[in-house]
Amino acid sequence: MDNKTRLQYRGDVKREVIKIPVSSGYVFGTVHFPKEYKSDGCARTDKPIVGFVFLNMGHAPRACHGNLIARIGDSLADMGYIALRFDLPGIGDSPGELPEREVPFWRFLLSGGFTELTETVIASFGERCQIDKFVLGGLCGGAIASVIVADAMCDRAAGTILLEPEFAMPALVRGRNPDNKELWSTYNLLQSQRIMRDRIVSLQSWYRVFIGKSAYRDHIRTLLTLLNNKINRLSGMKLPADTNHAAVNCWLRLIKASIPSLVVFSQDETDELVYKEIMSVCFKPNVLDRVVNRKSIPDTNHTFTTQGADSLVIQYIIEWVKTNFR
Amino acid sequence: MEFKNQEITDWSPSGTVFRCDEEAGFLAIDDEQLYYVHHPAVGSKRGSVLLAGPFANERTYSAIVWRRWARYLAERGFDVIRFDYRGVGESSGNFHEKTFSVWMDDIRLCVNMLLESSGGCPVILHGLRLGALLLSHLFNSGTADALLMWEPPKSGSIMLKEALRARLSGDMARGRDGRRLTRDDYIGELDAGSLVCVDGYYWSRALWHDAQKYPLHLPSEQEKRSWRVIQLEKRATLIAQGNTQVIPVPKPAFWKMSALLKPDLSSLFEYSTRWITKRGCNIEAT
Repeated sequence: MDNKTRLQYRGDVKREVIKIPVSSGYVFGTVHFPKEYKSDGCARTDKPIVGFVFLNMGHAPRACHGNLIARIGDSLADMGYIALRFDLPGIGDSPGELPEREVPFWRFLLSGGFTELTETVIASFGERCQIDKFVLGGLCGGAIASVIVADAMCDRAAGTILLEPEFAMPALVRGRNPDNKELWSTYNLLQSQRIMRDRIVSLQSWYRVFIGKSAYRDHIRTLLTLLNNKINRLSGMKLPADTNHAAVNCWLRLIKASIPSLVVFSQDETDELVYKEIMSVCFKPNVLDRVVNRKSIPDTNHTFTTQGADSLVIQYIIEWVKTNFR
Repeated sequence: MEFKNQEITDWSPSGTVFRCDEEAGFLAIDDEQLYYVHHPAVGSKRGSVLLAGPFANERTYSAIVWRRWARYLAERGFDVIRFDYRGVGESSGNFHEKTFSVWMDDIRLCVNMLLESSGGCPVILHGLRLGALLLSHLFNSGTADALLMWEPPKSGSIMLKEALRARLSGDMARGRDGRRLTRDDYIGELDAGSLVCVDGYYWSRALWHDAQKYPLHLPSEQEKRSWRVIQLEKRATLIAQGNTQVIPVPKPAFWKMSALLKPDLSSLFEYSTRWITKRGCNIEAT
C-alpha cells in the first residue's frame, strides 16, 4: 500500500468542538463522530457503548505531532466509535495556568494531577453521548495520565492505548529530587551508556584521552551505577531509582483486573527500555502478555513522526480495537 | 528536560478560574472542516484581528504562546479569530493534498467571517511565519486595514528548505544505515512525485512547487495602509528597510522545540499591541 492510499482521509467522519466546564473554567475538545451518529445525540445499541478518550502528550496540543492523535480519532470514528481528544488546562485551546518550564508541568501530569479534572470531562462526555465505558489513551505523558485515570475510574475503564508511555519521573534538577535526594535518572544512565559505547569506537575520542582532554569522570559514575544496578537486580526486586511508583501501581492494578492494553514503543528507545526494566521486576513474563499487547516499531522516534511509523501505530490500534471490542 | 544548577520546584495550579466567553467551531469548505477559535473583545471593541499561524509542527510548538497572544489582544479590546489550516491540527483534510494556495482559501474564508462581524471597526491581518507570508499576499489584494508580520520567511521555498533541516537532523540522530540523503535528494524525491515525511507531515510535489509561487510580498512604497515586519531573531539584514522592528525573543524561539512554556514576550506583546492600536486602528494608545 503506497503512502497516499494509507494516508487517505475518507471523509466519513465528522468532527465537533466540545466545551466542558471544569474547576479551572472550561476545557476545549474535539469529538470524532462516525457518520451514522447524529450530532445532537448518539445512537444507542444493546451493547455497552465504548468511547475513546485521548489526553495531551504533555504540553503539545490535542492533535499532537504530525496530527497523529487527530488521525487516530478519525480512524476510530471510521470504525463506528466516538472519540474525544481534549486539551488539559493551559494546553492547546484550554485556558489554564502553567509553570514557566516544562519539567514541573510534566511532574504534575505524571503524578496524576489532572485525574479529577479528566474524570469530570469524561463524565460529561459520557453523559452527552450515552457512553458506558471508556478506553483511555495518549502518547508519552498522556499515556501515563491515562493509566492513572483508568485506574481511578475502576469498572468504567474498558482499556488503555499507551503510545511510548513514560514510566520514569523526570528529575527537577539534574541528579536531584525535591527532597534533595541524589538521583541518577534512567535517562541519564542510558544516555551515558550510549555515549560510552560511541566513544569506545571513536578514534577522535581516544585521541582526546591520550592528550588528556577527555571527560571521563561521568563514565566512572556510569560504570559504578551499572554495577550497583546489576547487584540489585540479582536480588530481583530493585526498580530504577526514578520509577514513577504511583503510575506503576496503577498499572499493576489494571493488569490484575485484566483491563486490555495496547502499548506501542519506538524500538529500543529510552521509554521501552525503562518499561522492560520495570516490568521485569513486577511481573513474570507470561502474566503481562495475557493482557498487554506490546508493539515495538523500529527505526523511528518518540513521536512516531518518521519512517511511516504513524500509519503503523494507527494500524495497530485498529487491529487491537477489532480484537477487543467487536 | 533537566537544568543544571537551577532552583526549580514542583508546581501545581493555584485554583484560578478562567473566563468562559471564547468559542470554537468549524467552517465548512470543500466538504472539509476548517477549525477556528473566536476570542471576543473585552469591553468596547477597538478592532478585529485575524491571526494566521505558522506551518505544520511550528504550530505544535507555538500553540501555547499563540493562544496567550490571542487572549492578550482580546483583553485589550480586540476581537480575535485564529484558525488551523486544513490538514493541520483540528481542521480536517489530508495534509499531503494541501498547498499554499489551498491555505490562502482558508485565510480568505476566515477574513470574510471577520469582515462580516467587524461592525465597521478596523480589520488587521497578523501572521506568524507562514501566516505572515500568506497574509502579505492577501494584503496586497487590498484586503484589510493593516498588516503585522512576525518573522516572515523570505519565500515559501526558503521556508520549506529550512524545515527540511528537521528531516536531515532526524536522519542524523537515528544514524540511518547506508548513504545519508541530502537536502537535494529529498527535493529530488518531491520533484519525482514521492511523498516525503518531515516531522510527521507528508509533503507532496504539489506543496513543494506551489510554495515557489509565494515570495514574501512586501507592500510597495505607494501603499497608504499601515504595515510592519517584526523580526524575532537577529539577522544580518532587515527584511524591510524602514519598516522593520527587531524584537529578539528568548531562544529557542517559541515556534521551535523548547523547555520554556512561558517565555518572556512582554516586549513583543506590548510593542505589537501599541502598533495595532495606533497604526492599525488609528487610536492613540493610553
